[in-house]
Amino acid sequence: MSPRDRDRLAAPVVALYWALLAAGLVLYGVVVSTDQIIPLALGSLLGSALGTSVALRDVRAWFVLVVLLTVAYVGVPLGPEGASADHFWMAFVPAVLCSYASLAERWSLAALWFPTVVWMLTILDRTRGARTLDTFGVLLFALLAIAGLVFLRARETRRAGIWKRVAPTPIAEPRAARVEREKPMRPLVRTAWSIAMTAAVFGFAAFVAPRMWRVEKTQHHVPHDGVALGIPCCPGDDTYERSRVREYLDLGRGHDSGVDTWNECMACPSVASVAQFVYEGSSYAVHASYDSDPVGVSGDVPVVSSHWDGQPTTFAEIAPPGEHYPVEQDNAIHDAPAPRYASQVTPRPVPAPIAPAQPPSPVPPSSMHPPAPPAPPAPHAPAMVGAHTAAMPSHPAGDDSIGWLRWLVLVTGGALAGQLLLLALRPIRRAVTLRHFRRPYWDETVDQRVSNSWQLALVGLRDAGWRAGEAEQPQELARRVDLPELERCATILERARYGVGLADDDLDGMRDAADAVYRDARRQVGPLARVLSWLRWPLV
Amino acid sequence: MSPRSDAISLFVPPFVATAFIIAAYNHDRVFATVAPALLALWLVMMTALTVRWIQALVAARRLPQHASSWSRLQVLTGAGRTMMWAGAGAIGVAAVSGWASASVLGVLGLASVSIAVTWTAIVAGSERPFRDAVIERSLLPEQAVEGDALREVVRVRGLKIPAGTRLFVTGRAVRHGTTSRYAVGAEASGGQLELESDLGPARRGDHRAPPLAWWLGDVFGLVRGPIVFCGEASVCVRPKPCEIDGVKELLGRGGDAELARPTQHMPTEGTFRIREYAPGDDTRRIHWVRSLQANQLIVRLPDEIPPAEPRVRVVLDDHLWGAEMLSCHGVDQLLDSLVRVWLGVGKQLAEAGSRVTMVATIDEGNGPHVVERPLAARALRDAIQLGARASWQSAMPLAAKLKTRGVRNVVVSCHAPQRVGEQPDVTWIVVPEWCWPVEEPAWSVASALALPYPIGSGENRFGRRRADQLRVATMRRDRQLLTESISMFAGLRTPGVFVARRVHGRIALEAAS
Repeated sequence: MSPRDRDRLAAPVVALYWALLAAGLVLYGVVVSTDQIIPLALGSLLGSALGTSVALRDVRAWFVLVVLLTVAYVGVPLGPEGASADHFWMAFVPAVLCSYASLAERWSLAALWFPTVVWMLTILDRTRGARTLDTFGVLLFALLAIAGLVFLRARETRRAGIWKRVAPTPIAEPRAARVEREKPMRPLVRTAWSIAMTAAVFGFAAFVAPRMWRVEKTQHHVPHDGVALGIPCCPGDDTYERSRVREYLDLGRGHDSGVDTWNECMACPSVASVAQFVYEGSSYAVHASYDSDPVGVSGDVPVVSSHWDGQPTTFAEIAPPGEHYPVEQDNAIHDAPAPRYASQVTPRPVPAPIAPAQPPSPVPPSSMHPPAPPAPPAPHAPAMVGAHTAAMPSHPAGDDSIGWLRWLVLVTGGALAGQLLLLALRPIRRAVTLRHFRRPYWDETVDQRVSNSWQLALVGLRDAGWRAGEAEQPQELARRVDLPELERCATILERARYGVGLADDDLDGMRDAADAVYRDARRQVGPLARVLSWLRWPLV
Repeated sequence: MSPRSDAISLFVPPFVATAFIIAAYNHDRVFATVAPALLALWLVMMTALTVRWIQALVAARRLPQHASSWSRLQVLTGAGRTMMWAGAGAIGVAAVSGWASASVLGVLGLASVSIAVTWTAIVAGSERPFRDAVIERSLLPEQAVEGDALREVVRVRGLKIPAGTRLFVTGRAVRHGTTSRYAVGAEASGGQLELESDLGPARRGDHRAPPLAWWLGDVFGLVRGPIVFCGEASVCVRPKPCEIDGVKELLGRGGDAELARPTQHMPTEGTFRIREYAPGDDTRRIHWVRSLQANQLIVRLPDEIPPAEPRVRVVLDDHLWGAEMLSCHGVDQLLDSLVRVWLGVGKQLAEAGSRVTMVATIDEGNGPHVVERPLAARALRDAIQLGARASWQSAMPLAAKLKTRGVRNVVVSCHAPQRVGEQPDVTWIVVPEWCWPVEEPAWSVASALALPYPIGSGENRFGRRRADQLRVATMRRDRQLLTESISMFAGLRTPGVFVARRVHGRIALEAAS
């Protein structure tokens, strides 16, 4: 197999994989957050480029692993530290492996894993820590399932192409398989099958997979700067709980958004509980301890240290006044045990929004400062006693994402409407074209009118499933298709083509014969096929 | 892949996934919903397969030649098996780590394979799609000459290719020839389809192409249906006689056929040689028809008859014990070279005026038997047909093909001269091994860094690579056996032995002594 053939066969698979990955990254950046997109996108794109490149050069898997380990061994210690670097490497390594596996023979499911992770960041973001998907999540999930099946199909098409050309023993040079006649209803059947298969796989996955998701809770230690957070400062434990669906990448708003139990208790003077509070420009890095408590498996759970950038402060800063955290919508996880803090107190809504807080003083990242003594509560903020469910402001990115979603829906709807319009216009195009074949709108030469009539006959034959080969001569087609008038058409056409000369009545005879062929051919199929033929384009 | 590994891949992964779910979610209602859902999907799949298995079992009892019913469980391709296991593994990862993406992929993988197996078992799990199909396979041109470009054309009508499946066809027309492979989508279902491929240069022989293998596989490459064999074909590739120098030396130094003399019987005789009239020619020899055509006087010349018409039997020594069991290319190419030399010698002897009889052994299904065909200089057809059907055999020794009295035998052989019977008048033409090009497959040393075939090809699998290496090793070993079995050097110095050597594209006969 020539390198050109190999690249031509690999192109759809590579394009699909990259489209899937790029779409996931764009969705994450648009819908969830633009803060973490840079390391994620860098890791994903660089890793995928490396994986695709080595795969297209037929490099063995062990060598890819060695190169990857070497790059990681050298790059991790020498590279920058921090959450962004972690995210970069967490994206880079699987991106290399999955993009390599996308062209390998059997590992299609493994190849889909990393793009799925990227997509799940957006999908899970909309779950708000629950095992249920909102409408947008369902839409994304369906798109992911469709893309997965299309990816599998493209891989199999490539495999079949390679199978036809590559073997240890010599392979015969295949010519294109020629379908001389097809059943007119087959495209409809194939489309119906595709829809049914996709729906079945998506339906099963959408029913089963979310039930296996694990919701974990987080206990964040927050600084005692009530003013900075815009949350009333109150004594007690300075932790609050949030929930999220666990995922490989520790990113995404799904970690801490939506219907959360904000077991917030601003123990203002509790210095010991504050791990780190760093203000870097517009973002915060809060070291939080994640209490990985899988739902249904209480106790004996590890506490994982993690990073969480900026979002609490961002919440507080742009929280619209008047929005409150829901009280009894704890994670929307009804099978989870009650949050430990929420059960200790009687939740009550925050009666009034907090005034916009002053941003905390910038602190160099390298230095740790004990938190300042708690500022006195704002005059309009009532003191909170113990844990309570606090008002949860809307996610700022979520606010933006709603606009983006609207635009996305509009664009998608517009594209669909355009396609429907084009589909609806096909019968008109066909009618105009057939009218021109029968009676030209403008003066045309005799040869051209003969050719038009031949095209009319071919349209009728195509409606009945007959396909004319590219190199097939008219007389050959006439012999293959048992329609009496077609031979006359072919004879007149060949006379016109080769300049033998046409008789006076040949033009009328050609037109009548072509009309007869058109009618007779269409009589061979059922009424539904005849109706569907009006939607077909191109006509022959 | 064995049915056992297929069965393991069908049975075990869903239970592995379920075990993970039970272990990880035993206190959760997840256990009550996910595990039954996966098991229900598996049960539907197994029900479809079981129905096909029972059908095949009943058919196998009625028709002993029917394929084993266990082959109905051999439905997963390599990608399908891997996806089944990877799906179970992903669910295990999801149960252990809790990653949502792993659970999505695991369910997606298991569901895809299960639904694909169910659908394929329903619509393509038996020979039913092929039952009404009309398959015509032809190898063109039907009467080819050695070296001609051979094409395979397969016409299919009425074959049902269900939606979501592809048709795969493969087969080999001639031994050691190219393998043709086709993959067609469902758009050709129920209609008319033409498949065509170039098989490359035709090789001598009366080939009976074995039937093609047909099967349906799903469009995701996870599942395939049972394999059906149909579409036999035949082609007769005639040998091409080669030009041989030094044939007249075969008849000895007496010059039996060196000089021809014209026929002097009747003035009106003569057909093949004509020329323009020259003053003094016998006017009775004017060929009036040709003269009118040429618009000038043409006279016919008397035909020439050799002064002597030695009877020569050109015998093809196609007796080589165990040759039919050798898998190397050389054994076929050796016979092709023998036939080319055999025909070339016979043709040139006939052109020199000898009465030539071509002798070879053919097998028409009831054992090999000797066939003799007279050869005229301008009527090679019968001899060429005989050469096309010649094949190695071990039942008919050379002595059975030699006549001992009143005729000269010219034996074209790859062996050293051997003692035969009563030592008839035998001239040997030995075609040495170096007379034909060596086309044995070479050892393919795979790079340690690069895959031997494009990534994604099934030929990169370790098992297939190993099988291919074994095939090459067997062919090279057989070639060695062939070389040893035809060792000829000991007898090449015997008087009356000629060696056929390739000189500038022609074959030259050189006296070995």
